Amino acid sequence: MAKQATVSLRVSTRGEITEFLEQEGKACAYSNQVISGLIGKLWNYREEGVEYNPSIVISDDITTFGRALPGFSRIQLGCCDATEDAAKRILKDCAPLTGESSLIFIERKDEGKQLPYGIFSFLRTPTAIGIEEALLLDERQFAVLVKKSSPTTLQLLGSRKNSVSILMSTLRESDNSDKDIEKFIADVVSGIDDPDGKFKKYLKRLFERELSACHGTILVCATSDMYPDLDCISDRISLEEGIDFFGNFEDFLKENSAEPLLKLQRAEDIFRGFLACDGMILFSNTGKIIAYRVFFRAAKAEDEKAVVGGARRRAFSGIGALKTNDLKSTLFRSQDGTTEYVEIANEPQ
Amino acid sequence: MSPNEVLPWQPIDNLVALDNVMQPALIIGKAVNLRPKERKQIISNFDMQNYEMASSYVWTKSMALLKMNLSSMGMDFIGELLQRPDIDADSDPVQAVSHSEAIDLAYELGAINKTQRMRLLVSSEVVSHFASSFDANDDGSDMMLEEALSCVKVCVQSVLGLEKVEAAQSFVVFREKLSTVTLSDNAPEIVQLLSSPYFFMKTTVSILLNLLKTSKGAALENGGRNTAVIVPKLWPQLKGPEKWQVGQAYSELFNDGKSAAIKILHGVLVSTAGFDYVPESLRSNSFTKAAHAVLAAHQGMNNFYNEPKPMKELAAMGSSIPGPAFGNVMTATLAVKLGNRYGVSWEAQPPADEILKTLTQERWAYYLTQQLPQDSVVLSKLTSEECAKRWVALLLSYGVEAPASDSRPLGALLAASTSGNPAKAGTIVTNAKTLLNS
Repeated sequence: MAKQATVSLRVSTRGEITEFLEQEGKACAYSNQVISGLIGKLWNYREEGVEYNPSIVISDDITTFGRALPGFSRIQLGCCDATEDAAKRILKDCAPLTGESSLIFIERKDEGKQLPYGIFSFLRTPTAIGIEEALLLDERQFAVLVKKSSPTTLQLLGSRKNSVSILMSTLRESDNSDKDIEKFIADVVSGIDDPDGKFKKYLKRLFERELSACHGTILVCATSDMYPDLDCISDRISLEEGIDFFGNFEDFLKENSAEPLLKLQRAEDIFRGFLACDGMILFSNTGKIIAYRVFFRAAKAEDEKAVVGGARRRAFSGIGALKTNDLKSTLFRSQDGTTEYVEIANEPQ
Repeated sequence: MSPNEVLPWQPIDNLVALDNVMQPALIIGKAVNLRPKERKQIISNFDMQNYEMASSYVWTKSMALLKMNLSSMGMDFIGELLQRPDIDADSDPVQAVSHSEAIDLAYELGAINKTQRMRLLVSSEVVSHFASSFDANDDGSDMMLEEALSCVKVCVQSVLGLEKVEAAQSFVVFREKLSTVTLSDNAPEIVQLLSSPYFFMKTTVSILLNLLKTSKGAALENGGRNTAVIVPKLWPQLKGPEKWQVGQAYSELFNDGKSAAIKILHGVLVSTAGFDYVPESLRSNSFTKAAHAVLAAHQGMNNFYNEPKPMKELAAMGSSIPGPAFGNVMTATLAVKLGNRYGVSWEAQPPADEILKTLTQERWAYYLTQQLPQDSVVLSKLTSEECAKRWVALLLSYGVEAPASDSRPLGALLAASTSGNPAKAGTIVTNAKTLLNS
């Protein structure tokens, strides 16, 4: 007999949000409703065909929250009741105005029934602490961050360090992506001197931000600044001088002025562009991008047939299976947020 | 060991006796830190009446030695004491620290007494004046024997005649303790600190902030806990510049991504409601550096010729002076405006005026009540009648009103300063000396 079934995340999501808010010291049905609404909208939010991934801070008093953020400024754009439509209205008014430097704020007034909202920004330099860390500065102050950490994952973070990850995927929950990205970054910085780990920290933040917004990519790390002489990846666009993240970062630390900061931001823009292109991106072990639109060609046709998956998955398997001294590792990021790291074996002696 | 266990300055008998000695050979003979050849050459210059050369050489050697002695505590510590973020462990003490900073620091740390400080500051002006004089035809421009002897004498008594300048080793010990031990709320060191002279309080704040910025592991933990206990207790007594220092440190830690340290300082600022002192950006470092360049030019050789360039650069940075840098900018600008007993640098006056004309009454009031009492550079100038008269004219031209003050000497000084009457210069001089020596 035929059976119709509907699977909805509503109940389980609302339940988790209720528990999360209780642990954050704010058991509030209005806030629960607003957060649920935001989650429902955020995982695929578009305006006029453009995708937006804003981060949202919900707080009892955004001014008090913001005083801990040097350079804090806010613009209130409206106020609404905490109804089912609140999330839709807030995102409609604010999402197109957000970007790397601006976030959405929602204040809880009148015990959560009234929601003034708008956008805010603060001093964000390559080395400054991010909003996730700023949130944890004062656990006595209620503040929740809602953000999309990958194409299929939404996160709630609270000032008391509670968190909820909501996966819009049928895959098993697994959270090795952080460790995989860290391993890859360790390879990218293995050829430079970064005693305080500042550059590593900067790269991690950059990768997390950009990879969570992209629709899948493969990153490869070489063992030097030179493009490897390998037939299987000879099809590429080489960058003669490379996009030097480390050099620009060091200049910024030394000079702490606008010019190196702009150069670093330009490098980030270009990296974002590379992520939107086909093919793999090749890093050196000195913090540079040395090629993009790198395409993998298997040596034998049988090698490709063994792998199940799309072109990206096949390329990743091929690269990962290489035995060469010229490449160190590769990082795979799928469209649904799956991340894998593989260390590339050395040539046999 | 508490920060108060600083040995008061103890004069050495055979150097005290130099007060009444007028023979250069006898004075220079006590300069144990000069080589025999140097002593011989200086005496020879005195014999040939080359007083400028003799005093200039002695002065240069004295300042270099004084700075080297201070640097034995660690240049990063010196940077903390002077609240100069541009000075770190690798800085050259002779180049990085100005003469007036070295003299003030030596006084605060008990290495020299009040009178020595005053005489050294005067000698600095005298030597600089004669070193800048290029008019070969002006017979009145030669240094007099008395001026040279006065300079040489104070250099020998304060620096060159001492086997070793003991610059408050207890400070070093106390600093060490703040990073190795967590002090309890009612620890005797903290109780004593609360009734210590202000210099000890502000130095403690500097030490703790530096620990947050630079240390790791156990040192950071101890420094952090001590910060959380000590700074809120000191806060009611801290003046504006020190509160700005805490806020500036918060901004720097935030910018450097030091989460553990910033959480500690966040807690301090919450408990003291001190977030008003967190600047929006780190522009203040640039202003501080530029202000220091002005001061270095003002206190260096050929100052009237060298002041305009850095003064113009400081003025070009804009009228929106960040809070943490305000004191340094005012000190530098007023130093240029007030000049010294020999005059002012004419070409540096317009850019200095550009800065002063943007000040509101509130900012003037803040400077006069919060920063002037500690501004030894400006107060030293106000101990001279010529500078005091310029000061009266300056405040009159900007329409500055006297703010209220609880301190009697400060109140008297401000009343005289804003009277518009140059005849009140004597009152200014007297009260400036009182504030300088307090």
